[in-house]
Amino acid sequence: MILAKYNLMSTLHKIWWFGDDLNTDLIISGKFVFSPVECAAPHTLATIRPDFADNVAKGDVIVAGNNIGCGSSREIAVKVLKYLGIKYIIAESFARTFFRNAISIGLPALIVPGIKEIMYKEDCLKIDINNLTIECVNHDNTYKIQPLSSLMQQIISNGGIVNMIKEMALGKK
Amino acid sequence: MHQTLVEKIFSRLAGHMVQSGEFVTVEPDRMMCHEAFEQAAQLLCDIGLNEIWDSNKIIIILDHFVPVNSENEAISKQKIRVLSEKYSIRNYLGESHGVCHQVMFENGFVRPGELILGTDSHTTTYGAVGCASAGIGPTEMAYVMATGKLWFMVPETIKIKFTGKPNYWSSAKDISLAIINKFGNDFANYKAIEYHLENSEQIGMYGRKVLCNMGAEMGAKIAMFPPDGLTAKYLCGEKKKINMLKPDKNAEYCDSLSLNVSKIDPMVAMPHNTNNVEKVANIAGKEINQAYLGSCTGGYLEDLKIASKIINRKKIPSNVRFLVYPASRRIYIEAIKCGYINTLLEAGAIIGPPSCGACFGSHGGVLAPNEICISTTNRNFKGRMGSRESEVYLASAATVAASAIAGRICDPREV
Repeated sequence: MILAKYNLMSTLHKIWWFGDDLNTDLIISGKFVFSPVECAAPHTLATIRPDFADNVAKGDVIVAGNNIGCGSSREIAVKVLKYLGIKYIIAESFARTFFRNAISIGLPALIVPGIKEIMYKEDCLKIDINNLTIECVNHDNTYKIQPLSSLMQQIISNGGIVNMIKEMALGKK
Repeated sequence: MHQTLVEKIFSRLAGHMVQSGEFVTVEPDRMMCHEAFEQAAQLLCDIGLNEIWDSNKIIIILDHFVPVNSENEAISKQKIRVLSEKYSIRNYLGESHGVCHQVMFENGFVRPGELILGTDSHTTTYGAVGCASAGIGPTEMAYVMATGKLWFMVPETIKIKFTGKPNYWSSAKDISLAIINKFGNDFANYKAIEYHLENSEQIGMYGRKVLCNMGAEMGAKIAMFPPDGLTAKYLCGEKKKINMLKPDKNAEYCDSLSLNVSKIDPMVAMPHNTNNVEKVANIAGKEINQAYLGSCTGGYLEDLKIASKIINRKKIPSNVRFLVYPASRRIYIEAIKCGYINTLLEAGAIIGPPSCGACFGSHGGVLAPNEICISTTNRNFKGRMGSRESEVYLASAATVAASAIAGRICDPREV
C-alpha cells in the first residue's frame, strides 16, 4: 500500500491508547464543532486526557479499540488530531463518518484486527505501512493492517480530497 | 439479482445494477447543510472556485447556534449568508425554521428512493420515507459542491422486523433504546438498516423518523422504512411524482433480526454511552436538575403532546429546569394551537426557540458539575451537555415529562 512517497521501512511511533467507543464528543467538545482547527486543537481529548494536547508529538499514533469516532460526524475531530501531528489512527473498528472524515483530510485510518490484545501494554509500536504490519517492541506479537481500497489510498497520497478539488479547479481555469 | 432498497437506490444513481460491497461514485439527489456550510464553501472560495455543481440541490438550514450567543457565532452566520449568496444557493432557509432534519421534511426536500447527504450524523432520519440519507463532513460536502459526485461503498443491509403492536408507553425512542440494548451501539456499522413492519399502521411517521434518527446510534450508514401506504399519505401534498421504490421480496440481507415491540417498557440510556440501557423502573428515584424535551429525536408534536398530557396542570418543582425546544417552527405553531405549549408553560417549562438547543452542550441548558439531566436527545456522552462531571440520561418524552414533575427519574406509568 503506497500512502507516502518515503517511509520505506518500519518506523517507531509513540502510542496514545484508548478503549472502545471513543466518541467524537470526547475527542473535541461541541463548543468547538465549527471552530478553526488552531482554536480547537488545544482542547483535544480534554474531557478524558487533559495531558494529550500539550504532550502529543509529531508522528505519534492513536490506537483504540472498537467503534472509534462514534457519535457526531463533526470533522473537527479528525482535523485536530492531524493538526497536532498524529500520523495514523489505528483501531479494531471505526465508526463510519469518522473513518470517511479521516480519509478525506488525508489522515490514514487503519483497521488492525486484534490490536486490542496489547492495549496499554506497549508505549511504542513499529509500523511498516508498505508491508501493512505492526510489530510490538516488548512483545512478540505482529498485527496485520487491513489494506485500504485503491481509491482511499489515492485520496491519502494526494493529501486529502481538498488537493483533488484544487487540481480539478486549476484544470478548469 | 434480488436487491435491497439501498442497492436499488445506488443502482439508479450508478446507471447499472450494483450490489453490496461495490464501490461507486455517484451524484446525490440533494445535499443538506447546516452551519458546516461555512467551512465547505470557504474551502472552495479559498481555492478560487466561483461556480459549483448545482446550487438548486443544496439546502441550507441553520440550527446549531440559534439565535447566536456570541459575536463570533454572529460573524459565522454572516459569512454563511455571504457565501450562500456567492454560490447562488436557492434554498437558503436561514435560522428561523428549526432543526434541519424536520425542516427538510416540512419543505418537501425528502422523497423515497433518493440519496441525500447532509453535514450531520442524524441525516439518517430521512429514511423514514424510504430515502437513503447519510452524514458526511464539510470537506466531502465541498467535494460534492465542486464535482457533483462522491464515492460510496454500497452497504450490506440488516433487516429488522417488528412484530406486535407497540403499547401506549413504548414510544419509538424506547424501541430504539431496546434495539441498542439488544444488539449494541455499533451492530450496524457501515451497514444499512431496513425496518420492516407487519402493516403500515404499526409505526407512524413520527416513530419512523425517530427510529431512523437513532439508526445513527446503532452505527448505521443509512436506516430506512421501505415506503408504504402511510408514506404515500404523508407525502400526498407533493406536486412532483413520487418514486415508491421498494426492496425486492427475495433481497439478500446480511442479517435478519426481529423485535416484538408490544412488550417494551419505558427505557433509559444511562451515562455515558447509548448502550448503557436500563428499564426506567429499575433506576426510578434518581434526582434530576434538568429535564430536556427537544431535538431531532424528541422535539416532535407527538412528544409535546404526550408531555402536556402527563403534565396536565401539575407543576414543575422550582429546583428543576424543564426546557422544551420544539423541533421546528411549524411544530411550535401546531403545539400552540393544540394547547400543549400553554399546558407546559403553566407547569413552569422554559420554551426555547426551534433549534438544536441544549443537545450538544454549547447553547442554552448547559450543565454544571454534578448536575443530572434527563433528555429526549440521542447522545449522553461524557460532557455532551456541559461539564465533564455532569450526567445525561436519554429517554422518551413521556419519561422526561414524568421525571420533570417528580424532580427525579420516574416511570411515566406511575404518574
